[in-house]
Amino acid sequence: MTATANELRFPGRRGVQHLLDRIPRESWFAAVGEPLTPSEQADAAAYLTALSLQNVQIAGVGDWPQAHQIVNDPAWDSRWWQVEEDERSVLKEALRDLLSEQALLASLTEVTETASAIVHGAAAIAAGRSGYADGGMTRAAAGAATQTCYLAALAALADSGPDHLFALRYSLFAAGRWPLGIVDGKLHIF
Amino acid sequence: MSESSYQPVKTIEEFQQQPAEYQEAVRKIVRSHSINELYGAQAFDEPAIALAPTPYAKWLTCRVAMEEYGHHVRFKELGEQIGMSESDLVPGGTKKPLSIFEFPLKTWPEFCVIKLLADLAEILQVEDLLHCTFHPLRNLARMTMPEERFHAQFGEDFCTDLVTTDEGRAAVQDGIDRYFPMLPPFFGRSKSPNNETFRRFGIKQRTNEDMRADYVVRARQLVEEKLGLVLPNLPAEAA
Repeated sequence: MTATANELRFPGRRGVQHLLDRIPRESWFAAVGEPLTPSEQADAAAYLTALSLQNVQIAGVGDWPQAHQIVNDPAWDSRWWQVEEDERSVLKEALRDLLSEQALLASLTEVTETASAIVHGAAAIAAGRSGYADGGMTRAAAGAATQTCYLAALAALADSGPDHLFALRYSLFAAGRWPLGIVDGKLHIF
Repeated sequence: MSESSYQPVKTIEEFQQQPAEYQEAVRKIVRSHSINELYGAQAFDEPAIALAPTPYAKWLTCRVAMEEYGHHVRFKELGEQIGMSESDLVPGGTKKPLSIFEFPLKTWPEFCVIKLLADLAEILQVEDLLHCTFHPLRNLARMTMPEERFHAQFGEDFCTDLVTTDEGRAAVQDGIDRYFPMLPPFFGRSKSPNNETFRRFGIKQRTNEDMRADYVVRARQLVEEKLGLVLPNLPAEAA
């Protein structure tokens, strides 16, 4: 890595290191298909609040075929994605003043490579346990989890705290879940 | 396969003992990969996340983009280990970007065509490094290869879905017609002195013209046999 000494001492770097320590120990996809517990309902509600989306209910998803249908639904509510994209841009812009583009890229890559090495296998195991074999869905699941780690790393670098939208999203994945998106006014949690 | 009998260079320390011509040849390859991976991620992969039509497609595209950025970071790290400066390893220097990055990406089918055809070209380039005499570069090529294959497969899978409708079929064919002619120059000039040096040192194995011809054959198999579309003919000098 080519971060300067100042960049290595950058406060957000501690948050990224914490994330790097956590990623291998999370329960990636371990609870997909299980009924949502009250605390998971509460976590999902906090995530929705952070998204500032009103009148959206929370729904559990019972199996991989249903999850496949939801993530491929052309009528999905893209506001959810747009809110996160807007926040991603805000964080990236804020970080641009604090560390070089190459240092930012190096930190994010460290996180995404760490995640990528773990989550694909975890998704494949979870799908295999259910007797579901669709390589595309496994890769999409891994993509979603890795993207979540990337977003959580951005929030960590910006020292945004545990109630940040991206930290809340990460906590859903850390509990073994996969938020699939909003369709028909419901946030579907696998 | 190359007929070079150049001894393997297994470490950065051994690299530093090699003739200046060998070192410069390796640096050229590393520079090219570092810059092109970053260009590709910035020009195509990251913008395509917004074009992807469903969460499923978006997450797969995210994964492609993250991996391409990761390839850039790894090639850049290797470049720095062999004495290159950061400015040599990122876009913005004296070298113009390759014309393949000037394609104005506007639609999802165009992106799928880029993955189908440009990542096939990238696979050929990486394949040629799998037996490279400079082992740190060989090992990096081996690490990136499965991901490059996934990216090309991504293009093939989504193009296969798109061509099931008339509208999608027309969009993919249009993308191929406009993008494919930009790709053969990606393999470099015929009878290139650089390529001759690369092969003499066993850094690369094949001539530019050999790789280009192989690429056209493989692209034709994909486009015509798998997708049932038409690969445009190229001018004689480009084929």
